[in-house]
Amino acid sequence: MINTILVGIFKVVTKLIGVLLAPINLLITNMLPNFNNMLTLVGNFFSQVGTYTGYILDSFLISNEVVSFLILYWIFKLTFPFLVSSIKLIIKWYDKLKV
Amino acid sequence: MRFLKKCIKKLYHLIWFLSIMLIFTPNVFASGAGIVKTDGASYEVAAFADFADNTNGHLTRVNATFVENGHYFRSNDTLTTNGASVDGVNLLFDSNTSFVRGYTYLVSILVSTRDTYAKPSSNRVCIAETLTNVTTRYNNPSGFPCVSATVTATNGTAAFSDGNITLYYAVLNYIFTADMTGNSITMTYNTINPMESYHTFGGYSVTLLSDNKQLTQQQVQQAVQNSGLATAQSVTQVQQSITQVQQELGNIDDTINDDNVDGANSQVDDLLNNSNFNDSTGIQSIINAPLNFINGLTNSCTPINLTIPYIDTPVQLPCIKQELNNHIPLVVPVLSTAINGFIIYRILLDIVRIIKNARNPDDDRIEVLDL
Repeated sequence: MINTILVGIFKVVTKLIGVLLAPINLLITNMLPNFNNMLTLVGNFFSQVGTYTGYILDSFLISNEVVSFLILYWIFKLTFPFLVSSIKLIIKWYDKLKV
Repeated sequence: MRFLKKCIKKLYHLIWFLSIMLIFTPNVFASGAGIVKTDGASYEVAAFADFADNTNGHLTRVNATFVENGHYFRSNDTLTTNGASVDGVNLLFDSNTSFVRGYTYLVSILVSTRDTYAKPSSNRVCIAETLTNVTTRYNNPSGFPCVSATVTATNGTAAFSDGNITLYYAVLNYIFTADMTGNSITMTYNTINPMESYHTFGGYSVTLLSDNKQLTQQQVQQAVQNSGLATAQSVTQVQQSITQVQQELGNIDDTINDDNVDGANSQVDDLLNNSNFNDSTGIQSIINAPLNFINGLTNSCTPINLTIPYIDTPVQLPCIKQELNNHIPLVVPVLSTAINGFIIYRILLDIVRIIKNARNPDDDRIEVLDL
């Protein structure tokens, strides 16, 4: 049951993203075809960059383990300050309400 | 004046008390039956003609006598036993009353028992046990019992004592179905009292319970089936349905309690690998671009194939690390360790700095916004 619930949540999230973006995509495709091409090019650029990323990192002798560690570091760097700031904000509110 | 008021008040309470007592007194006493003290040493039961009511056409208020071995045993007579069973006590009704074959009756008999030699300090006489086993059977001219029943008369036993003689009362109730028409019942009155004791039949009541023939099990089943409420087939179907419901409940219970999440990873991988996150067109390509980029970071090196413009010559750029390993294998591990160690060192320094900043209570900056 837990397995089904987890998979169901993922499916809901992915489908929700598709449903929300579908009308915008349709609008841009029909009304702004050039803009749509530009967005597609941006996506292709990232894909192309991703193709050569492995070659570049290998050229600088950076191992995959370090890259994984870098990704984790950035996740930490992007989420931890938000968590700390939220806790501090809640404490400040609590102090003001207490008075 | 106050004394007069008190007397009136007490008289009023007394009248109320007597009224309530009359209301809650059992019918057996209210109908005229009672205990009469005949002399200073013994009790006898009075005539018991009004033992029960005479409603709904039941066989009550019939004239009957008890006969023991040809001796008419009237309600005021006493049957003497001496540790032996007394057989053949007939409850004989008059000719106007008869038990009809196949009809079911409820017969209640009031029995009193006393032991002449019982002393106040002695407990030798156990009349309740004496009255425990009373076998009755319908009187059959051919001599063999047609209907028999064992009656337990422990309920309703009452004892009265004047200090010398203890008198016990019990009402024997039993239901039987007559298989012959007649106007008498033959009783076997067993006593286990080893001492000489006296037994008096104080009264009786006969109630007709069923004016139909005795219902057989087959007739009952037929009646139930004809009622449309249930048949054997429907009962079987209900049982099968109950079994199916129980199995389904068991399956639901197993599903709810299933904590296996082994399949979640593979199914999530399938979700991430399908077109939901690989759409390369439109806005979704912009959203997916960083994810694809991060996903490509951990890809292994693949040689790059290029075509030199103007001369249209294909060129393959081999992976640098592999080439260095082929030519200077001792240098690559040293260089790789130094570079990766330096990167990790800087990352750790930055993590320490972030944590130190987080410990400062006055610093409310959100560092992510400063990127």
